[in-house]
Amino acid sequence: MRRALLLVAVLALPGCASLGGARHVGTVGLVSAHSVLSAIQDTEMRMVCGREGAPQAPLCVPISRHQVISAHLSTAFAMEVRAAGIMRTLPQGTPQPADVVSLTFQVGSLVQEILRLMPDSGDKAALVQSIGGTK
Amino acid sequence: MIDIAKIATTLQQVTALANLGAAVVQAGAGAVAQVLAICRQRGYDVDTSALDELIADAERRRQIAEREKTAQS
Repeated sequence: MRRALLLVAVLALPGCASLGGARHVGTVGLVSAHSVLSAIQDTEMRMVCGREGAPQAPLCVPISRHQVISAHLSTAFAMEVRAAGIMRTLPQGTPQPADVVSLTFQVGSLVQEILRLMPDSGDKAALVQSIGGTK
Repeated sequence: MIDIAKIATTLQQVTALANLGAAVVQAGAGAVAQVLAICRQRGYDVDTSALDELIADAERRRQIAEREKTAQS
């Protein structure tokens, strides 16, 4: 399934590029993904059990799960840094590198996993709505 | 002049690729403003500046996440 999605992405990129150049489209995509990741990090940090303002159990995020989520976030942000670094050095008129597409997909997968790990609550619902996802 | 339709199409394609849903289109006001600003001021240098800011913020957030990996409370 993931291979198929990656193939679709690679095939779709030339269409993306025609809308403003591969580097520009890639930049917009990375900034967008970063906004989503940042919203997730900020929200999840406020949901950790025992922290000020956090909801009560079972709606809060247990510390053990928070550690796992933080590890995923660390990986996702590192991928963003890598992808942005590649995009930054991309000469004008160059097609979008497959590495960036792959990294973006991996960030997307981590987002899905992090959302799965977060307990269903009003905070999570608001987060999902704000990033335009579906339950 | 901002071509909203073109931006929306672009963002839909990008977010679909990233499997993030229609994230950007419905994102918070800050995120949308940030993305629209880049779209409005299209150019190699503008994109470079945006990527520099992104790299700096992503690295800052990565370090926070690294600390939180071992948080005990």
